[in-house]
Amino acid sequence: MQKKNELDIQRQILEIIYRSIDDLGEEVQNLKIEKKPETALLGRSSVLDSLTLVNLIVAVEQAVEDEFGMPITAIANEKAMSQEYSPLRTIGTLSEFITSILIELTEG
Amino acid sequence: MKNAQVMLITGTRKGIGRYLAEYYTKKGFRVIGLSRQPIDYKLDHYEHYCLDVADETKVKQMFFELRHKYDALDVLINNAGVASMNHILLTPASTVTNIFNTNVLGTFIFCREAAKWMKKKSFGRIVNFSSAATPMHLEGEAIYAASKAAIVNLTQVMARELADLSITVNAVGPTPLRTDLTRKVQQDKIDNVIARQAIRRYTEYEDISNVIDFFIRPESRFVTGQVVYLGGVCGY
Repeated sequence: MQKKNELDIQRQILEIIYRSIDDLGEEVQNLKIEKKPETALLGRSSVLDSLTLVNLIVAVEQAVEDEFGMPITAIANEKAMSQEYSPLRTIGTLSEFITSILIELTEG
Repeated sequence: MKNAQVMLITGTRKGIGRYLAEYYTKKGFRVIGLSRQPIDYKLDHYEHYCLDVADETKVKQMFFELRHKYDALDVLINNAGVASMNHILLTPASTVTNIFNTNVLGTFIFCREAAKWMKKKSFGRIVNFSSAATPMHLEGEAIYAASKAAIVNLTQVMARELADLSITVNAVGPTPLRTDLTRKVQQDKIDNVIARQAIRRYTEYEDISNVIDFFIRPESRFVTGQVVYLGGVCGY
């Protein structure tokens, strides 16, 4: 896959994550999460409690499936949920991680 | 059928699963059933998938298709199960893997995918299948009973994890039924099990649907993490 495509996909994923945050904001009161790649999802700097994070990840997973027209393997495995080197550290690392899953799936 | 509730039942080719598919389509549910092998019957308001419940990729593909077909999933009944009656000294590891794959892994994958879908509507009813073999600690059923014990614990923990999403998770634990699973067991062994029940008879299909009816009704929103054993068998 070309680098440009990879960046396009990542941008698309970021949009999906931001949309999912907006949707979550309608369910969770006082959800204050900045929509930018540096925003922390895990660890002390994160404003999300564990259930809200689970809800966000599931919402993103389903939105990605809908937009790309194929099921993807679970984003949140136990490795991903641990804090050190987790792809869920920030919105940016999450988008990179999902992009890599999609590239792997499309390249078979 | 436009506003019919949608129910997913695993293991509907025969036995209890087929009975439940017939019973709930008659009650007005839109039922999606599945089994490894094709079925030899047809029902109105019923559609069938052929897959192995422990095949995560195929299960995810099925849920992906269903999510685009139906607005919501209301009920999941994890009925699919396999058994093997044997002394542990004569039980190969492959039997353990097979039983745990279908009974535990299959139940888990379906609960996970169903709950992701159910949470969108903030409503869901999940009913798992345990067995009286678990609290009765039946000789010759170590692996089957252990797999059903795992389902009990899975049910209880999932009930807590999914409570905030308004999804209830409960289980029914039948005593011996006249099915393919018990047909291979010696009659005196079955008789001994039934003799230990408070009500000494085989479980009938209607006994199971009665408990499921209770678990899935809207009024049962405060009932979760429960295991109902039939015939007066007591849990731990």
